[in-house]
Amino acid sequence: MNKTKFESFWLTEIIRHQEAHLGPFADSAAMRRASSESNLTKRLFIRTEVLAGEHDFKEAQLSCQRLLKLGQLGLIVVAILSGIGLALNLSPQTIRTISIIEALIAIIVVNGLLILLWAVSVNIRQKPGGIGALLGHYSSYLARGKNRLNAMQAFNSVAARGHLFKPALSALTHGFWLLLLGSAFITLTFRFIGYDYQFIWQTTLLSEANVEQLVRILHIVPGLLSIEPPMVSFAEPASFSGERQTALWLLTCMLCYAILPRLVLFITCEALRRYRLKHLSVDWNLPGFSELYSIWRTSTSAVTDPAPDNIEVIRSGLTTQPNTKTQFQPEAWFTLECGEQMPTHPALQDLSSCPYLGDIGTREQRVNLLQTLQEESVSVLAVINPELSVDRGSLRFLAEVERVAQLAVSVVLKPDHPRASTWKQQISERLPAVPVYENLYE
Amino acid sequence: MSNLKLAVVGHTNVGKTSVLRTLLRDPEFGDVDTNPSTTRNVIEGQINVQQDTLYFYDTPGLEDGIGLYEYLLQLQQYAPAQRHDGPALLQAFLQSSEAEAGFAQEAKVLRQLLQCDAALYVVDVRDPVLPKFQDELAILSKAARPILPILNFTASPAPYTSAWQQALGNVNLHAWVEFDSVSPQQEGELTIYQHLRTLMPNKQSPINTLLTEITKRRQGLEQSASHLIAELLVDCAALRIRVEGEPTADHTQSLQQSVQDLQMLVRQREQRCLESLLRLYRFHAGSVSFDSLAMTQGRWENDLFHPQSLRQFGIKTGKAAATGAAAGAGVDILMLGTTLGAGTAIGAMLGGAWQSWQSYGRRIKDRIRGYHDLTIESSVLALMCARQQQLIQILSHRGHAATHMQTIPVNPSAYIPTPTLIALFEEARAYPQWSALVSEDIAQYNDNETRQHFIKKLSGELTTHRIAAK
Repeated sequence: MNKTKFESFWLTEIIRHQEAHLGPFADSAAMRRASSESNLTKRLFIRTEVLAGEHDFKEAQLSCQRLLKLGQLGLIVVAILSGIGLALNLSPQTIRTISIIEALIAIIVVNGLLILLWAVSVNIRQKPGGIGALLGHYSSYLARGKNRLNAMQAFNSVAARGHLFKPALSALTHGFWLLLLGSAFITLTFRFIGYDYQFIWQTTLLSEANVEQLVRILHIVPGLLSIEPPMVSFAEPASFSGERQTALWLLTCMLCYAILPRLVLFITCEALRRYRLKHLSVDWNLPGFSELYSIWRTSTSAVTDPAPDNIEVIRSGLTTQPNTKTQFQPEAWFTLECGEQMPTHPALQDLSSCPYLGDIGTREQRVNLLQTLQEESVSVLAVINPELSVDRGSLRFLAEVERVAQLAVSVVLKPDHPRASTWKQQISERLPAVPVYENLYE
Repeated sequence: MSNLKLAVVGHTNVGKTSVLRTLLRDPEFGDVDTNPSTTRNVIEGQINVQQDTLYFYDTPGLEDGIGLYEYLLQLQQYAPAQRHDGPALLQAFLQSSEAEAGFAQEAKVLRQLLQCDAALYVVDVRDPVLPKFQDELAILSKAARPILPILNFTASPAPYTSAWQQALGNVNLHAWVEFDSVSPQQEGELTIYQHLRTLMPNKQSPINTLLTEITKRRQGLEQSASHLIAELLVDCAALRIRVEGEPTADHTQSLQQSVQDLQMLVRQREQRCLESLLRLYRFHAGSVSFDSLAMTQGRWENDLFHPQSLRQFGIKTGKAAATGAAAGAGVDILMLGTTLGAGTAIGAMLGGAWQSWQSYGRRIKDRIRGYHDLTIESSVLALMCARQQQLIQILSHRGHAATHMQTIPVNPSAYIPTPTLIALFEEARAYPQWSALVSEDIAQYNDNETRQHFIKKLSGELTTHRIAAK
């Protein structure tokens, strides 16, 4: 069953309430399903649907909807019965006389005063809250069970946030009165068709002139519809045609001054309600939604170019030479990417008797060093800078050195640096014949 | 719809994935390790901005710039026409057998770069400027794509920042950004995109949209965070635990139990707020923690005819009578055995602002029946507020690459709540139905329009006026 927009927001609010106050749900499955949708609001609704289904909130919502519909139905029945009751009260079968002024008061004046009261209450309260919010809150007491109660509270929250209470309750009020007056109008019409009534103009306080004045004012609108005004006479009863004319005039007045204003107000409030409903949107700053927005703003990572199965691993050309510290006596040494100040480092003082082949950084320096070592075939110590990250290029170069000379590596400059152990590990894995020293070659 | 593709490149182990984690605000993105060669695949991350999408590609580290540069020179000798056509030279390399063998990793980087609009070249400024890095830059420049260097780890001690800036200038890379992926500068992210806008005039529109979105999102994050804190404060300020009997020494044990229940509810609620804030800023649950909230002050709302209460209804009282001495004594009794002795100091804060006769009626009823309400002291609320705001500050300046845990210290005396905040706390007290913590009577909870309006007001106050440390 497709949900209306309000129902979707309502269900989403139920989940939000739960998560905001009791912590998030385990939503990995829901998030996976939601991620197929690009629109964030729709994504939120999908997540809500999944979670609500898992936690029985849909059932609670349906139950509340049934409760609300039942209330609505009850109001409709009450309105129709009240309308019929009003009409029957005004046109009793036994006496067959109708006081025009009483009918006008019951149908038009009371209705007018109530419309006025509604207008004042709607416009006077600028602060949030009001009768609607109060009714909404107390209606939640009708719900039994934790989930239903939560659903009713969520209903109130969405209605309050969307400013729906005022137009919805106004539409409900005007709809109620419209039904009431409509059923009274129909009942009265049937009564006038079925029975012969006599209309009385006399009142205790008003004079004939007053009543004539009142009729003149009320006749403005029926007059536009070419309805004949009634003959006002306190003294003599009207003829059959005169009574018929009065009944028609009374029904027209009821239509123009009671039913039509209510209809206009109902349509206006309903249109406003629909407008606000249409513009209902997710407030992504709300707790529960804001966290989701943060997650959905960025998409999950995906491997677009996987690593090949075999990335070339540098391996030593020599595998037979034992990796023991005692056998190694360097005849020359060089530093690898240590910077020019490094040869004077105090930790390297013991190497002062050996020839220093330089700090090797560029490709040209590497080539020159390899040529020198190839010509002289000496045992050489490479002092590396453990602050630098070990990389394939450096290991490849050391492997080349190892091919032309007896090589040892020292991390003496920063033996305790976290990356020193990475160097040692990488060299022992890739160049197992090359010894690595922390304190030169002792 | 306009898309922007950025390749994140650099030497191995310089923090490329870390930079991306922080830019994407995603602590799950890729793998981060202190060992080199952690990233072996090209991994895509996206930022969705309205109709545009910004794609980031995290690439493996360049590990043999010197070797590859030499190989490219060799290739160039065989095809002199490519001397001034960098992309063609790189394509020739990608078709060579070396691209599948010794330089497979570098080939991945260059293949991706050629498919992107620009590159972010990440530099670890703790490393000196070495020839191999310069060779890497020379290789990358052959892709004929704008390169924006990102100077990472600038917050670390003794960095080679100025040496790098000079070296980058030497190869005509004058636009660089300092962006520490662990503790990023507030404007670092914006600066990256502003520089990219300059480097790519044809992509101005999506970058402008992105910049607007980032600014909006930052404000949105602040508002959302304030909203979360406001919800916490209202839940706690409006919370009342009903206790039977007078707050006297005879009832000390039961009172202590009630105080403990109250404290537990508040602690749990504060922890939930912390977790929500961590989720909001997209950090792992254990990234930041609070010391256990030193909430030693419960309070009694016991005196119906207290001058403060009377004043709520316009009944004027003398200054001396309004000091709340009676309430202070009540708190002292309450704190028997558990208090830090601060009870008397908070007496003046007493008096939930009852603004409706409905509340007042309930209070009269409770008073007659011998019940009292235990509520949270304003100073505790202020402390919670300050701690959560401190947390926001920490999270705003924490990169998503950070792996260490931060602890927010507890120092109740270090914060001064503003009078407006205190007034708002008192206002919230008047509506016990606003607290979602009332477990025994959940039907009482009412998130009505007035509450929503109040939350907005409080959250606005929290956004504009942060509680300052002394």
